[in-house]
Amino acid sequence: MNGDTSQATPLRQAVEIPAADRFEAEAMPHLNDIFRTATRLLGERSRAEDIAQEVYLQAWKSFHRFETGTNCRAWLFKILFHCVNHHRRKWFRFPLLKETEEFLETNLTSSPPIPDQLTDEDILAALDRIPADFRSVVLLVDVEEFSYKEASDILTVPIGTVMSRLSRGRKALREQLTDVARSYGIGKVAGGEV
Amino acid sequence: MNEDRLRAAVKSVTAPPRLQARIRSDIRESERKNAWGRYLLPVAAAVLVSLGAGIAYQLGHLRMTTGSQESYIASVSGRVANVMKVGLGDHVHCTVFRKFPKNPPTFEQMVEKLGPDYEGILPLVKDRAPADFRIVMAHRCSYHGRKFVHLALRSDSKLLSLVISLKRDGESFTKENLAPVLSESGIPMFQAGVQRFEIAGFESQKHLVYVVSDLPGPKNMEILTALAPALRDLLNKVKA
Repeated sequence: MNGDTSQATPLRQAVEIPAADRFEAEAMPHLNDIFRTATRLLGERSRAEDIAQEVYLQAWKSFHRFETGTNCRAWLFKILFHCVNHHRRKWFRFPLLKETEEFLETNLTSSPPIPDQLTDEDILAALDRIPADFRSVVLLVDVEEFSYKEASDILTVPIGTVMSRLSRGRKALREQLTDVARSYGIGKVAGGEV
Repeated sequence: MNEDRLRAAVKSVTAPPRLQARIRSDIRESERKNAWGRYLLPVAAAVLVSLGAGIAYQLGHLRMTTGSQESYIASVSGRVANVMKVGLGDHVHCTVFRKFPKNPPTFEQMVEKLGPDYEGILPLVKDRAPADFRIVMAHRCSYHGRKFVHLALRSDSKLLSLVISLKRDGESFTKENLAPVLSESGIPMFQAGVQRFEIAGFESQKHLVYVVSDLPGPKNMEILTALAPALRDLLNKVKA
């Protein structure tokens, strides 16, 4: 009987609670996550605001398809990446950074440790400089703590690709941070002076 | 790179409060539009269906060939006495299969079409017909080689004809063994019904007179009864 009650509750909620209230409860708490990921993906707060707004409007319009009790946050991120990819094609007629294997080959010759004295701004600036595909995976897995499987679903790429991009993204980020540290004259890294 | 350090840096960015307000405003606006949509969609659908039905109805009339009209009239008339077919056939041919203009002809135009012998019918019908019916056509026509004086009246979707024709070869209601359903001022009244059509008739010295409509039988007969005495007197004065 208890099992029946626990199963019936979400159903009853779905029937009785107005959609706007459910949306408020399920989706709105993730606005900060969506906004800051959008900011890091796009590099601009104003664009990130527009995208976050669009994500939520799209989510609201298709909220009838969302199943209560499933992962609303992952669903919102999936919409976010869909919107970002759509707008990226429109906004960025040419890539801001070269996001190919070439980038890695020329930039990742080693995997140095990262100095601790860097500020949040330094870290964010470094993150913004790594290729978008790698940055997306780093944000999803390392920052938003999605599993590989969830990240794979959100980005619609195989898990292997997620793992590969994550590894390369982390390396690229370390390299960028090392450069920043070096410019500050901070510490020494293995294999050389920074 | 310490992931906690990266996480803390990224999460130091928060959404501005105005963004929440914009999103909520979007949702309210979307809800408002949806609410309109919920009402407008069925209304628009109903309008479209009505429009389509109206067009189909009109086109159906226009496209109905003479052959199919005749076939329909024959199928309907086949179930009533021959003397009743006279009035029914002209009603269906001339009133039912007709697209009436939005503005009916004027009284004077109708008087002119009826001619001096029958023009007196117009005021008579105008005075005695039910108030919700108006005369939309009055003319002299012929159908299957037979001549008629024909008035068509309309009330919304209801059609009514007063059909008058000279008797041929001693035609009479009583000759066909029809029994009068009532008598008004000494005039025997006859009645028949087939499908949606009701036919009420009487005869003057030289004429057969019919009221044919898609009204209920008693109502149809009531209209003929109201017209019969004055109409008989008028027709009896017509020179053959």
